[in-house]
Amino acid sequence: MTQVAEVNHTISNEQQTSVGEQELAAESHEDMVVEYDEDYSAGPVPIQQLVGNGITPQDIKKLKEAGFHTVESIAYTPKRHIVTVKGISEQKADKLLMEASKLVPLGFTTATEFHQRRSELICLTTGSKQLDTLLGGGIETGAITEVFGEFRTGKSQLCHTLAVTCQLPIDNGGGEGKCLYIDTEGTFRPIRLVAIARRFGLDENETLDNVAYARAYNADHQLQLLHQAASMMTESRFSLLIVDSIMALYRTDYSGRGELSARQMHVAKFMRTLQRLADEFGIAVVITNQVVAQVDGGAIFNPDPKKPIGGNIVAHSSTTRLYFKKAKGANRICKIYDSPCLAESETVFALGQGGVIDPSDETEAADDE
Amino acid sequence: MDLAAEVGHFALLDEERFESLVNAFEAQGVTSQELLLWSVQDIAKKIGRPEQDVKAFVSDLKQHLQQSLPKPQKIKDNIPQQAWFTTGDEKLDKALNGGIPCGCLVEISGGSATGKSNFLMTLSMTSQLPLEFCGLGPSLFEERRKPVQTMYIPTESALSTRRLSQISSHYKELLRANGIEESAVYPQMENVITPSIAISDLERQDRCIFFQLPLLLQRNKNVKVVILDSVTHHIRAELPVEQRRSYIIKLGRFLRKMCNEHDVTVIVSNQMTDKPLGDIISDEVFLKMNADYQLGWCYGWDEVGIVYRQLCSRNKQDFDTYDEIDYSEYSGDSSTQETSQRSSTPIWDQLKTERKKMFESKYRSKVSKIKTVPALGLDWLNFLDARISLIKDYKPILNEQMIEEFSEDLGIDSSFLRSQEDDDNGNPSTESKRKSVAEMLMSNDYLANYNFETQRKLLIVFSPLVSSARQRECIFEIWNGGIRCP
Repeated sequence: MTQVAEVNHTISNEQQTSVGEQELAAESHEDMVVEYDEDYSAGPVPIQQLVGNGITPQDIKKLKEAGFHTVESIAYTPKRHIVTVKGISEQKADKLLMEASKLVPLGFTTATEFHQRRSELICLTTGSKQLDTLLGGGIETGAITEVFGEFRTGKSQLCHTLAVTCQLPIDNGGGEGKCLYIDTEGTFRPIRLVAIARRFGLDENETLDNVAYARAYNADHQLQLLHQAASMMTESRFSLLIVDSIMALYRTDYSGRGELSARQMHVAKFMRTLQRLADEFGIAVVITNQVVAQVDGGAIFNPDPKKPIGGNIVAHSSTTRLYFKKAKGANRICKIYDSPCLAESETVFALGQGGVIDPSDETEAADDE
Repeated sequence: MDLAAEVGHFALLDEERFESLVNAFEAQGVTSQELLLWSVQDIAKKIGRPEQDVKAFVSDLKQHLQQSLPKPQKIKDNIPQQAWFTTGDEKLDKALNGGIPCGCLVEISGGSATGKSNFLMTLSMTSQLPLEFCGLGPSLFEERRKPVQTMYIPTESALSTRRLSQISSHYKELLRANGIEESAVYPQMENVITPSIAISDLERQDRCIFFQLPLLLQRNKNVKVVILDSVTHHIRAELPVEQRRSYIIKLGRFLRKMCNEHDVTVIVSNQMTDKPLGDIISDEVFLKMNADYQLGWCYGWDEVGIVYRQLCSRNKQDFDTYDEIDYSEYSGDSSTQETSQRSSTPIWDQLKTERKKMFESKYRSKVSKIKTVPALGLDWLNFLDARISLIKDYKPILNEQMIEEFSEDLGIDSSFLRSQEDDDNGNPSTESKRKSVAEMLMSNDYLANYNFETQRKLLIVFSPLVSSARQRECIFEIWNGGIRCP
């Protein structure tokens, strides 16, 4: 029932802006508009409205016995639940859904409207102005950002910095929310957070309190943690979810080609759960990924023979993909590898005591070895 | 009663005086076929109702059925007004022989970061261009204009409206530069419709495609393009391989139906998957399981002879000598020993060891050359009218002259380039020199990090507008205003 309630809630938000309404107003079919408006303004539509088109009063009776009393309840219930009602066949369920969706708002909106809604989504600052500029403001909320690179390229450092900056006030480029840190490699160091919190002038203890840390021990556990995350996020305001690193456990839990398809499906599920959390709670999701050397015999000219692991599925699921490379001293290069809205360019940032910082002569000269 | 399912909805089913009759049909299990084939008397007797009622019902039913029969049409009526719409770039359009075919199911496939979403977003804008600009929009000279709308269903992540607004403002500028002041004909984000709830699983995707989409198309005739980005995402995550097939067929058929019924162009993007390494197993491991082989063996041929014939037929050419067959393990005496050894072990063990051997020796070298192919396989391919593949490549920025020019700065010995001109008769030393220089270029720090630019390529695998003889590749780039040829 919670699911139904949730969808209803979203629908009611759209009431004024439902695109169906606008279009229909423009349509010349007056009768249809009237019919639509009538159904709409009446609030919940009684289920009897569905009679006709092959749906008999008996079917309605069966549905009522099963607890469906409004057209909305049918329209927002998954088909597999409707089929479980005694006497409702698969075809009948299709029919019911078809008829029910005719009577409720379509749930489409225009891109302009969507753009406005998305422009409310904030970006989390990375701590480096250069990097923020490259990313068009910072790490996007409501999307998955993948960071990949070799070891010591600053992946975990970025994660640590973000875990702090996400708590900053929105005016300062933060998200005013907590952070959930899922660690699979055991690289989480709370002591780093203290140093970073000092840099941003936050209270150390409070900062640490606001970071929920979970260590995942196997791939199933990793997925399980996300389900728990969802319930945590309903309780208090989170603005960031970090998975460092996504593929580490899969590499050990699944081995060989025989398990490859099982692994990839599990990864796909994991990625989708992440995307759903990002959509539902408007949080930023940051995942890190390891790289492997790409042994490509054919192409001599390969700009960098390093390739993130996780195959096509992780590649397609991440919204923005960033590639971290080492540069001189404590400087690092961040390259946009894949993004729907950012150009493929790169910038230099640096790692310091306070996390991710802007590069300077000092950092370039820093002895990194 | 299966009436509604069989013949669709008609007025009779709603009429009150027939309600009890319909119920009676259902109670007695009278099917639609029986209604049409049996005599009225028999039916009336079976359900215990007056003959007249049944007669009236059946005659109305027959009339309804005849009405719904499709009438023959002239071919002329079926020719669409517009066969394609532009991609926004002249060269791309030329490669596509006009543009994106209308009323078709078109697939844009490509790996991550190849520009699929950018391509689709550009199309959502170019389809709105006026007729004069090869878009689907109304002509500039038309009095009453209805804007063309696009339905954009993103499944991987939310629609990147930031990018979309960039592209739309580019086309606005373009039209303005052409002296068109009327803002009503500009491509607008207002005309792109998208689901208000994120499509986060297959169930929502199903609801959106199978229930909401047909309704929208029915109500809103301005929607001319439907974009699904991407079709693969949720299928991959939720359906195990064995269930995919039936789902893909159902989806493909449905989308085709939408194309035909509502005269819309459905454009879907598809992800890539690794090409299965079929040939390792089929050709080489199972060589001995091959009927050809066994037949030959039964006739008393020796192994080398059989392999020779098999390779001949596979390569469609004759070898001059046995030595040319690269199948050393089967030549000489050792092979006969091996066979006699193996014949004592069970066949499955033989296969296992052979397979293991193949994987160890061949797999490694083959893995690096794994090709990717669009996901979902042949079942999906069968439904497509057009497939456009996007490929992302890297190419070195410097050419050979420039390498020579900058060689001192880069610390490269460029003498080989000159020496190559001297003796260009393909002797092996030049070849090895070239290789060593290529290696040197690769290991050069500057070149390895900065000397490359990405190059995107569009490959028209097939399209109703493009004949197979044409040049079907086109290089494109992604820029502020969408996609274009450099």
